[in-house]
Amino acid sequence: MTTSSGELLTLLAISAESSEEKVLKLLIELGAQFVGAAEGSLLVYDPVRKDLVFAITVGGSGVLVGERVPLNKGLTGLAAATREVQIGAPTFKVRQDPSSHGGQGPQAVLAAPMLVGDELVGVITAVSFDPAKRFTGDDSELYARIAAVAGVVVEQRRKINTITTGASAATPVERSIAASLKRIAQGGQEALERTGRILSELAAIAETRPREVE
Amino acid sequence: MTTSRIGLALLERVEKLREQPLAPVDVAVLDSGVDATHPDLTSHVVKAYAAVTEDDGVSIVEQSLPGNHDDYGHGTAVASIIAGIAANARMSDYRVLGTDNTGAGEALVASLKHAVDVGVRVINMSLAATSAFGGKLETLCDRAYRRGQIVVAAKRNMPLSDLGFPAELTSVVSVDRAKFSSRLALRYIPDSIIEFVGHGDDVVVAAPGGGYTTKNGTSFATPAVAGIVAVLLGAYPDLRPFEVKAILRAWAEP
Repeated sequence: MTTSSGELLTLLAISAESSEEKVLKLLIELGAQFVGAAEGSLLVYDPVRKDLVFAITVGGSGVLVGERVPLNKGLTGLAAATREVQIGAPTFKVRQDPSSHGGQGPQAVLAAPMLVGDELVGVITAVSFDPAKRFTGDDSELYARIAAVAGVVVEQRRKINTITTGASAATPVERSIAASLKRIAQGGQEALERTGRILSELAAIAETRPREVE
Repeated sequence: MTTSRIGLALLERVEKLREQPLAPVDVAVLDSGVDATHPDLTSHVVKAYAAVTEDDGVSIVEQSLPGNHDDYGHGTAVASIIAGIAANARMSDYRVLGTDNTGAGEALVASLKHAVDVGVRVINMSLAATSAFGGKLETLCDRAYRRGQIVVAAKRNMPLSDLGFPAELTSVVSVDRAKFSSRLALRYIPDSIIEFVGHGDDVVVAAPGGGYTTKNGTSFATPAVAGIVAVLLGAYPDLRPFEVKAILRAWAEP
């Protein structure tokens, strides 16, 4: 199992080795086992970049952790865009012969969105490379429920943060902005100077735009 | 009762209707877009629109045809189920996901409004919006009902606090999924918000770019019902929405 604690902390406010991180790992592990998947993963939604990033993987090499996935492609993107669980199977050439496909890469994919209320916070997936494997409607119902539990874990963490800090929980956008500022600060003098130049240019644009409108 | 017997009455009746000449029926597919270049769909898709999200709202923009307007394959699959059942279906493709694939709720509402305004007879909605859009969708679905248009909508697969909108609304034909032996099988559930159950497991569908794949879920049971409705309206063009529901209920197995 491989985890990117940075992404979980930045986008879901879940720190490394916390009970919430352990529960999420367990859910992905159990989910993959229950549906007979070779690999399972949790991708976190980044509301600023509007994409998904792999934060937890089980069963694979772990190379996907940190990889970003656009919302406009694939079953994972569709699950995020529609807030609905999605099942994918390979394409075959002949309608009457489902075995007439290439047999390369993932043969079956299951993707369920993690939601807090109506807000998308991530997607969990299951992948099989077995050419004979097909995820069923029952598998999708099970995975939808696992995703719902994962959403509750994130929601509970937010509530605990609100109670312990005495302030409203930061929104995902605020957390993403804070994380970006932190990365800039860690980038040293050169990064600070470059950011300063960008901000100056932005300020200049903001000053000139109303006159252009006139 | 075994699943193989479910909806046999409807199956036989619809098959008989399909053997006779049917009037063309306009069907809107509000979804992820449709690959109108797929051989199974080229002759069926007559219009294509995209819901474009801008600062001041969502506008509906006509797209070129034939073309592939489906990034995901979901809408292509849905359209192919309708085309496979209703040879008389003239489909309008409404891509309801914005250009960055967000804002689905607003895009869904804007697309439904357009489809209702232009008078599309059957509107397939295999995407469920949250209750936040329930009020707007209810107004539009009621308007469609009064105008004789039939909205067929999918129950949400995700276990949220609602069953999905507009599927929860009385004015629509709402659909859950199960595994049946025929795509024309249908079960009626008395005293349920979601009234009908269609075939939605391991459904063979068209895939973008050519070829086929299999799909599962309420999204793929819903167009089977929309296809049946299109066949009914092709045979009896004057049917009103309540009559269509009554026929589906009478022909489906309890």
